[in-house]
Amino acid sequence: MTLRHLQDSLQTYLLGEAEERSRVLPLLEDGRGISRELRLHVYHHAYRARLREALGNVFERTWSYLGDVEFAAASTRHIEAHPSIWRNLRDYGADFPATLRATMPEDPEVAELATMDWNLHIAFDAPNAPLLDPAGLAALSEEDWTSAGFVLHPSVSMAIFEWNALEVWHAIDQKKTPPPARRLPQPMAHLFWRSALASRFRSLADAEYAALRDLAAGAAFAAICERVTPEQAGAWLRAWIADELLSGVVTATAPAHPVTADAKNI
Amino acid sequence: MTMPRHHDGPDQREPHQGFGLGLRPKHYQDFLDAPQSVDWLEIISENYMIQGGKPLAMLDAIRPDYPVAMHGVSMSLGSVQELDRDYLARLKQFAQRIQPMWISDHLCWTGVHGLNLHDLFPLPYTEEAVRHVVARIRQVQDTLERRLVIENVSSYLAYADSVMTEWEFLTAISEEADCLLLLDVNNIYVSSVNHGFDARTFIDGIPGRRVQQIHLAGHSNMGEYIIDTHDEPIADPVFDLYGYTCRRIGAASTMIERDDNIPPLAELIAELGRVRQVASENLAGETRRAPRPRLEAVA
Repeated sequence: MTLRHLQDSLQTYLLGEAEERSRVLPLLEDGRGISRELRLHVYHHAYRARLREALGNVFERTWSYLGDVEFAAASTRHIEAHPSIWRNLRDYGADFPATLRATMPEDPEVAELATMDWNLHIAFDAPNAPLLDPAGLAALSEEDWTSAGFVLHPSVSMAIFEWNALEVWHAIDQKKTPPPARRLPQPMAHLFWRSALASRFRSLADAEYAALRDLAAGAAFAAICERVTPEQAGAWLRAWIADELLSGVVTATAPAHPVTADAKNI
Repeated sequence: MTMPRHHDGPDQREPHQGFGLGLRPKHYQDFLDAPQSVDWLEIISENYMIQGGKPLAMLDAIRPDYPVAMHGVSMSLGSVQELDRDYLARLKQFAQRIQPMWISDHLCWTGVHGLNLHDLFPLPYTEEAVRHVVARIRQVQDTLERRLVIENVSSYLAYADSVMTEWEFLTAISEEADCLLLLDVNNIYVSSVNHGFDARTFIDGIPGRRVQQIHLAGHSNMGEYIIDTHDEPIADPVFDLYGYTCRRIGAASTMIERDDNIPPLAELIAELGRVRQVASENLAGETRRAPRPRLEAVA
C-alpha cells in the first residue's frame, strides 16, 4: 500500500463516496476494543461538523433566519457538493448563497441574506489599502479633473437585492422577529465595505450605485458629474471619502497616483 | 531502518521562553488594555496571513509587547501532493514581518488533489512515510531558511501498514530532517487512550533535546475514545503527563491552546499559573534561562 493510494482512498471516502468504505477499512486497524468503523466515523463526522461550524460562523444571520434544522440541511447539501479548496476555514462558503438560490427557489430572500452575511465577512479582512486624502485632491489641475477617476477600496463590494433582505437582516441583528419576505417595488443595490476595522453596509439609490459601478469600471468622475448636479456629485465625493470607500485617484497623466492618508500595507 | 540514537548530542533548542497562550480575538482588547502575565503568544499563521483588517491591526499592536511563535495548520507535510511553494513564500514573507521565535506545523496530511479536509490526519508509520516527510521538511527548511518545529497530532485511527510506533516515527523524522519538535502532551494523552499505549513510553522515546515547545490543552471524553477538542481546561492526567515530561526533557517553552468555549483571559492566565507550578515542581535544580528581550518594534 503506498502513501498515495492510502490518502486517495481515505479522502474519497471522507468526501462522501460511501462505496469507498470497503476499500478503506482494510487499510485500518481495530484496537483497544474500538472498531475501525468507529474510528473512521470520527473523521467522517468531524469533516462535516467543521465545515458546518464554519458556515454557521459566517452566515450567522442566515442561520438565525432559517433555524437550526433548515440551516443544517442547507449546510449539509452545500458541504456534500463543495469540498474545501481553502487553507483557512474562514474562506469556505463563497458559493453558499448560490447553493441557497438553487436549492430554495421558493425563498429567494434567503440567498440574499446569505450574500449580505458573506459580503460583510469578506470586507472584514479584505486587503488594506491607502485611503484617499482629500487634501491631495487640491493638488489636481483642472486638466487632471477632466480625466480623474477613483480607485475603490479593496473591501468595497456591491450586490443588488430584489427582496427585503436588508430589513430581515436588521430585525435579526436586533433580535426581533424578522418581517415576512417581501419583494421590493424595484431591485435595490447595496454597498458593503470596511471602515475603522468594522464591516459596514448601506443601501444605494440607483444613481449612486451607477456612479460607483462606473467608477469601479474606470470611468472618470467628470463623466459621472455630467449626470447629476454639481452639489450631488460633491456630496457623494465627500461621503465616499469620509466613509473610507476610496483608495486613490487616477488621472490621464498619473495612471496610478494614490493620495494617501494611511499607507499601512503588508 | 536503523533508528538514530537520540539521547546523546547537544541540546538543539532555542532558550526556554517561559509560558504562553494562543492569541485569540476574544482577548485582543485585554492585551491592548494592560500588560498580561503571559511570557509569549502563539498565533495561528493562516489566520493572519491575510492582507488587511482587524486581525492584522491587532497583531501589529500587540506584537511589540510579546514574543510570538507562528503555528501553522495547513502545510500538510505528509501529503503526497506537492508542497505549495506559493504558501511557503507567503509564510516566509509573513515571518519576516512578524519575526517569530520559531515556526511550527503538524506531522500530518490535510488533503490531496488540491482539497483541504480541515483535519490533521495521521500518517502510517512506515519507512516510505519517513522518507517522504523528511524530504519535505528539508525543502521547507531550505525555503524558510530556518529549522521547522513539527507537532505530533491526536489520532483516532491506526493504519495496518505501520511498522513502528508513533514516537519512533517522530524520532526518525526529526533526526533525519534535523528539525525540532512541538510536543503536544494532550495529543499524546489522547492518542495513548485511543490506541492503548503508555503515554510515558512515548515521552521516553523521543529526543528531548529537540523539544522546542510544548502544547497543553483540554479534550472531550466520549466514553469509548477521547477527542482533542481544545474546549475545556487541561485535564488532570495531562497535567501529570506534563510533569513527567518536564522531568524527562527539562524546561521547554509551554503554552495552553484554547480554541473553543474560550473563557475570559484571566481564567486562562490562572490555568497558566497551574502550568508554571507543575513545571517548577518538576524541574527541580534546573535554572530557568532568561527569556530573550522583546522586540521594540516590528518591521
